[in-house]
Parts: sequence; structure tokens; C-alpha cells
Amino acid sequence: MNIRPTTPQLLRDLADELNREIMPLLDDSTDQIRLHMITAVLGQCAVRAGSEIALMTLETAAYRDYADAVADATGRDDLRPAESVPPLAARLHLDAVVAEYARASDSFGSALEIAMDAGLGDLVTRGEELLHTRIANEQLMAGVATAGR
Amino acid sequence: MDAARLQEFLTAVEPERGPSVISAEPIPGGYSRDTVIAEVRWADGRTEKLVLRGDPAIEESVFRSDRDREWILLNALADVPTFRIPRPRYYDATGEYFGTKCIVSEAIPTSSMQAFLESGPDLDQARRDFIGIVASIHTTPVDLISGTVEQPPSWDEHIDRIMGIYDRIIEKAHGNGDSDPVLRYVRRKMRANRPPAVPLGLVHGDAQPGNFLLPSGEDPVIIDWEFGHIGDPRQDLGYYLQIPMPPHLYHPDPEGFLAIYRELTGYSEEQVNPQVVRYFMLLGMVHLLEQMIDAAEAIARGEHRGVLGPYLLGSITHFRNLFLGICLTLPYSPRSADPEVAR
Repeated sequence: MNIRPTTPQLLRDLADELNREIMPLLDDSTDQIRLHMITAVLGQCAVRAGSEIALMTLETAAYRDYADAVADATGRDDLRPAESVPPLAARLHLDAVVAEYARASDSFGSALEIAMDAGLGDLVTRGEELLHTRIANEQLMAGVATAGR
Repeated sequence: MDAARLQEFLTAVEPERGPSVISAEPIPGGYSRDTVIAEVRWADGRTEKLVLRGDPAIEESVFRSDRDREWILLNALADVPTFRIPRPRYYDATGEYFGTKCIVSEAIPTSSMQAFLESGPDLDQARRDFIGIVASIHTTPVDLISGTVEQPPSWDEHIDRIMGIYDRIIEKAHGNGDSDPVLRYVRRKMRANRPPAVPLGLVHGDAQPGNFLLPSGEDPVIIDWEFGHIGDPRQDLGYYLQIPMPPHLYHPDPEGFLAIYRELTGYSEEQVNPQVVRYFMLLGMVHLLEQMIDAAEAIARGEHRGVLGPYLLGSITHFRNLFLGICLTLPYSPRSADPEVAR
């Protein structure tokens, strides 16, 4: 593997090239706006490439723990996400991480709804904190600061 | 939508008037529709400016709306007594002439209220004027337009239909092997906190200063009705909360803003207060959120949505964050209801 530059470094370099060399060649304001959007997305991709597997893996573990906690509190064993343990190499591929993340997210969403229905205040609060973390991670990936109003 | 196509179209629809297209230039900006401003000279020597609005190519667009519905609405609104719109003139309903369905309207040669706000005016007066324009939309008698414009059977069914968009987003995600616990949480909180009803009214769908034109010495003119419909007027208030362009006319003093609005519309404080308006952001924005999420999914399937599709991924996060912030303040079940929060 060529590890220098990394994927984020490559993407940032290309975005810089577009901004520095191509943007000044464009006269049309619509084209300039489109190129600005493209370089912004490339910048987001650079951030994602560096962190998305790690962040999804951390969130997945937190969602599994949460679903287990709600299952313990309510006796709803169906909330516990099925454990799948493929070999490490397969587990680290993006497609596998995404699939696992989606499964854990589904379990978490169901568990939080059940915690709300059952009036389990502490677990609802813990679930709301996980939602905050999820959004914060998305904001990090998108390079946006949206503090809300 | 260029000069040659407009020439051919006008020659077909106004053969007696001898149209001659002088210019047709795209207006840049705007996320949804392609817009062109054109100038035409008629055989009697008079000139006229027209605005053309058409759909961008499907593979280059994120936001979708229905030109047929917009054309019906524009014609219904052309003569209402409460506000002015640019007079709708012609419609290429099949795209035969322009290559896309295209609405041709009178051009209003002036700038928007947004430009006026950026010039440093008296913001108290500007806020009152803005609320007055919004109220002029919302106090339009529905029976003036309901003969041609679709009207929901009831307020409850209208709200159910909008909440159904959340169901649709969540189900589509599930069908695509994804899951969004944020929107599931938002949906659950919304269902537990339905606001008080108001009579159905006219909703603009993109009520913001950029869509209010201020011709000198004349009444304001309201443009961009692509998302207009009969519904709950508070959708427009909720929608305006998330408009980012400064100066914002609501956030510095929500209570003051809404007191003026209630005075002009006759709504009660129970029907219109800051908490209810925040709730209506959840209802006033979700149709656009669905379209952004649909575009993201299309990209995931390998379809192209122009650069706007990828670019708006950050907006999906932004709006879900706003929605989450609103719903965190709402009680989640009767036993947790806090009257101060529920209001």
C-alpha cells in the first residue's frame, strides 16, 4: 500500500488544485458556484475517509450496549442485536461496517422508542445523548457547524 | 429555455401580437427551478419583460415540485384582494416548446425584501412589514381559491399527511438497509405533542424576505409559489425559523414577532406561540428534507443528482439537528409531560 499521501491528503490536494488553478479560469458565476460546491464536498470526503470507520464502530458498540440495557430493563430480548463476528479483515471493510452500523442503529431506534413508551427516564436521557453524539459525528464528517437555534 | 425557444413559443401563443424576443438570460442562483429573464418587443412597439420558470434536467436536480399545480395556484391567486403576485401569462404544459414544462410570468423590475434588509433599514418597521406580508397570505379567504386548488378534507388529515412524510422517510431508509434513530425519535415526540388546530389557510411554502418583492411606491409582490398549497399557515412560520440569511426578523424577539402576527391574523396565543412555531418547523421543512434524503439515496444507487445532491448531505445533518433540538424540549409521554415545556 502507498500510505503517503493518505486518502484525505490526496482529496485535499485535488480540492486545492481545483480552487487554485481551475476556479480563476471560470467566468460564469454558476460554474464558479458549482466548482465551489465540488471542492467543499471533496473536503468533506477527506474528513470522512479519515474517520468514518472509527466513528461508526464506536457508535455501533454504544448502540448495542444501549439496546442491551433496554432489553435488561424491559425483558424485551428481541431488542438485542444479533451478534455477527466475521474475521477481522472482513469486518473492517467499509461495506461491512456500514451494514453493522445500520443494524445497530435499528436496534437502538427501537430500544429508545420502547424506553419512551415505558417511561424509563434514565434510559431515555442516555438515548438522547447517543442521538446527540450521532449528529455531532455527522457534523464532524460534513464539516458543518450547526449549533441549532 | 433560451431566446429561440421563447420566440417560437410566443409566436405560437400570441400570433396576432407579433412578438420579437430581444434577450433571454438565465438568472443564477436558486436551488430548485431554472429561471430566465427575457425581454420581448411586440408589433405595436411596446416592450415587456417576462420571467420563465422551468424544471432542470431530472439528473441535475434535488428538489422536485409540480408545475401543473403551481400554474393552477398562480391563476387562482392572480386576483385575490390580499396580496399581489406577478401575473401568470403563459404555460408550456407539455414542454413542447421549452423542452421542459415552463411557466411564463410578468417580470417585476425591483429588488427583494432581503436586499432591502441588507441595506440597514429600521428593523422594527421591516419586521412589521414582513409580518404584514406573511399575514396577507394567511388571511386570504380559502374559498376564493378552493374551487381550483386542492383542499385537504380536514386539519387533522392535513397534519396526518405531513407526519406521513416522516413515516415514508423512515420506511424508505429501512427498505434501503439503513435506519435513522434521530427521525424515529422526532416522529415519536411529534405524535405525543400535536398542536392545537387552526382553520386551513393558504401556505406559501417558502415564505422568506427573498421571495417578497418591494416595488417602489406599490404594494409588495410575492413570488416563488412552487410549494404553495392550502394547509396550516403556521407551516410558513416554522419554515422561516430556519432561514439563515441575516438579519433575521424572528429570532431576536419571538414573542414580539408573534404578538404582531396574532394581531393581524386573529389567532390565539394557544394557537401561535414560540413553542408551537418551533413544532411547525418540523412540519414546514420535512418535505424538503425528504427530497434531500431521496437525492442522497439516489447517489448511493449510482444515479447522478448534480453537485447539489452531494453538497446537500450536510444540510440533511443540519435539519435533523434542528429537529432533534426542538423535540428534546417536548415531553415524550403523558407521564413525563411538563406543562411549562408542553405549553
